[in-house]
Amino acid sequence: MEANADVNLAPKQDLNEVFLVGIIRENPVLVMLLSLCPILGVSSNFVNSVGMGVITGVVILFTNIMISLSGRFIPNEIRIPVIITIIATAVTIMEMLTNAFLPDLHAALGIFLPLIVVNCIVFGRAEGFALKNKLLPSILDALGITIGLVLAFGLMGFVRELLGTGAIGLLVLDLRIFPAEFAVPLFVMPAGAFIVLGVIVGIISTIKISKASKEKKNA
Amino acid sequence: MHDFIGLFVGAFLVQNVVLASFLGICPLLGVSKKQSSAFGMGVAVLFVIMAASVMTFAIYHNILAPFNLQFMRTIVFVLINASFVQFVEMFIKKFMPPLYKSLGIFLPLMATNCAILGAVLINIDRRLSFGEAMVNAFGISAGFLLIIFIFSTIRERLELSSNIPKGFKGIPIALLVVGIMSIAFAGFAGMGS
Amino acid sequence: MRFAYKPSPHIKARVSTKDILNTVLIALIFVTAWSLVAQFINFGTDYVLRSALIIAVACVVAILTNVVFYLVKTDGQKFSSFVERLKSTVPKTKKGAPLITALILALSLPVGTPIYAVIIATIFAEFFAKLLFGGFGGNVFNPAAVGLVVGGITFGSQVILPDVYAGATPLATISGLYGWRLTDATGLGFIAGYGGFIPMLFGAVRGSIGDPARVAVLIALVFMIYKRVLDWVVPAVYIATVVAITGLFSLYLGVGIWYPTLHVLSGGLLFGAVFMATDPVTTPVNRQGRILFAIFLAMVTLVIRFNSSHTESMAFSILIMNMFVPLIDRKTANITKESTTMKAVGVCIAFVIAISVTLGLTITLG
Repeated sequence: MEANADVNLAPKQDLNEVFLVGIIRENPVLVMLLSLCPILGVSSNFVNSVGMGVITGVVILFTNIMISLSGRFIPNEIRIPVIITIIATAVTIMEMLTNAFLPDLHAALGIFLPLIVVNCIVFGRAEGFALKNKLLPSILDALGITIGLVLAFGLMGFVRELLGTGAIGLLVLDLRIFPAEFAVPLFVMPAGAFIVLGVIVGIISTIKISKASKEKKNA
Repeated sequence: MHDFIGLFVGAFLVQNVVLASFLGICPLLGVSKKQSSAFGMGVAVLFVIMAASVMTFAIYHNILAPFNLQFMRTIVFVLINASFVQFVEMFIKKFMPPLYKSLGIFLPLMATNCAILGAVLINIDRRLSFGEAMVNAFGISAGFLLIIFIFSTIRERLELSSNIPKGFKGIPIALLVVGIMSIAFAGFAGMGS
Repeated sequence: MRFAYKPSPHIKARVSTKDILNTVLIALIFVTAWSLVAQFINFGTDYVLRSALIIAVACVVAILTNVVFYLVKTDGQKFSSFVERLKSTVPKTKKGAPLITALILALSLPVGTPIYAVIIATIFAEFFAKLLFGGFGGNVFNPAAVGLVVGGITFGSQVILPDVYAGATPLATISGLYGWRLTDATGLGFIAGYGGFIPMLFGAVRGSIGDPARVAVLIALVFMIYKRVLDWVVPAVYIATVVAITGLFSLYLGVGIWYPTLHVLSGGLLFGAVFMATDPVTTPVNRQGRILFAIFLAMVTLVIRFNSSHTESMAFSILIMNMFVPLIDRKTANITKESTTMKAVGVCIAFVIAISVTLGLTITLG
């Protein structure tokens, strides 16, 4: 039974780099296109979106910490079920906490809460980073990814709720931006989720391409 | 019988797993570039959902519920799914190597497929009977197969379209297509009830 | 023989694309004019003005969307001034045939649609369903159908019918109240209320803007067949299948032959059969494919009509069948090699499937 041998051979990472990369340049959702199911499923509402992003982030943080600490003790063959179990434990805890303290959010997020277990980001960071890195980089990685996640979720939720209802609900107050007759209900329907995400990703992609071609011209 | 057909239509068309419930998007976008891999993935998912539905149903009602361990359903279901996926992966590798090659990384990635876990969770959360759960599972997996297959044919056609704005080629335009498909399927609202 | 998969449009007519578009536009303008006149005769000035406004808004917004899009997307061309840039959008806009989409969309909208909804619907139709896919020829989905679904349906709760045309449209009543399960009494009584089928053909029925122009649609159909811009097979097979399925259903309901006729004459069915199901870009390439397309289109139209909570089913069924077109094209790619018998067998099987699925679902879900 061989322990994971290359935990200490991970290259020295610039800690800042680890943190920042996850936010914009390699934003897990909008650039790497991971975790699309949840973002589509809960983003009809700004508060729900942000809530989901935060909860997912907590799970990633917890998982990264646990995996980073125990990485060298996990045999390679069973690493996948072990990681899954740790993630599932974190998710179950969050499920119960949310149900207890934020029941409205729990009801709104519905099936997507337990589905965090199969969220590609959580598993990907755990296996791809935390397993092979020390504690501090893993924590920063988790935090960076979470910020990127919350940004993406928040953006989607904001756009959809704004265009779809004309108002943003912010827990205790309702910010009405424009009258309801001018709202396009399509955006809070499932189809609207796909369309908004497609446009956002398309815009980001267009910006990246034009940036790249400008750099080529200046080179 | 009437209820079963209504249930099936509901799971297959009205509340379609991909277009309305947002499950299975990752494999949809990742595997749908080729018709054959899309079809293969759809069939593999169908098998796993049906098999996992039986297993999870049995375990939940016979082990978890009687011992008040319902909160463990997430962990248990995920592990069951992962095992089935592993099994399917070995099966395909042995008996259908070209399919194994074309599915590539997406086969083991089925373990993180929200559609599979989602399907078994829906069976339980909606308190369906065994027969209903089977019909529901079949509706969900048939729905996934239909969408991923049709989508792959559309994507093949989009590949030939050279005028799509550069930033939108690939995933963004694919998402728009799914969006329009979702609107189209909204036409089935109210069926079966 | 290898089938070379080429991009659209695959119009195999002896007529050029430009001529096809012009002919279709003429046909649409004819239908629009007839519709406005019929509305004036039957319903009065207010009705006509509102319809005209919707049509005008749709046309203007469609053109503007194209212009704005091409102002932004210049494909690397450089311009000396803004006016130059503006001028360059003109040929590209013309190629996109925005007026055709706008007219088809406007004629299918209910007369009470809010203007804001018309604007949004047209933008969706032009920008999301056509321009982003690479402009005319690259779209997978019928743009007018997309706009129609977005504008007419998703704004459903806000479609206000001002006093002038108060009350549910006849189609809404049949669909909502009866679910199309009519008896001889209710059905014939309903038709008698309009004075029979002829007035229905000539515009006595309120509904969408293009509804009063049914006769015009038929005339336009003949015109376009004569000019070879559409394949007569599609509307023919479509209507034949609708008649067959509703005919069988009328036997089940125990009603007379007026039932299938009512189906064909209600809603956007005729209009859709002539102007949407025949769009060369979003329908199959060869005739066999088109026959199959028409048969299954009828199936989906009726399944939705009979069983869903929607009043109007044409736009939805068009979009759903658009999804299957690449598949149909692929499967019928080498069709010229097949014998006529094989083709006929294929059509018969499709026909049987269509009938059984529609009637099976409708009766069991009934």
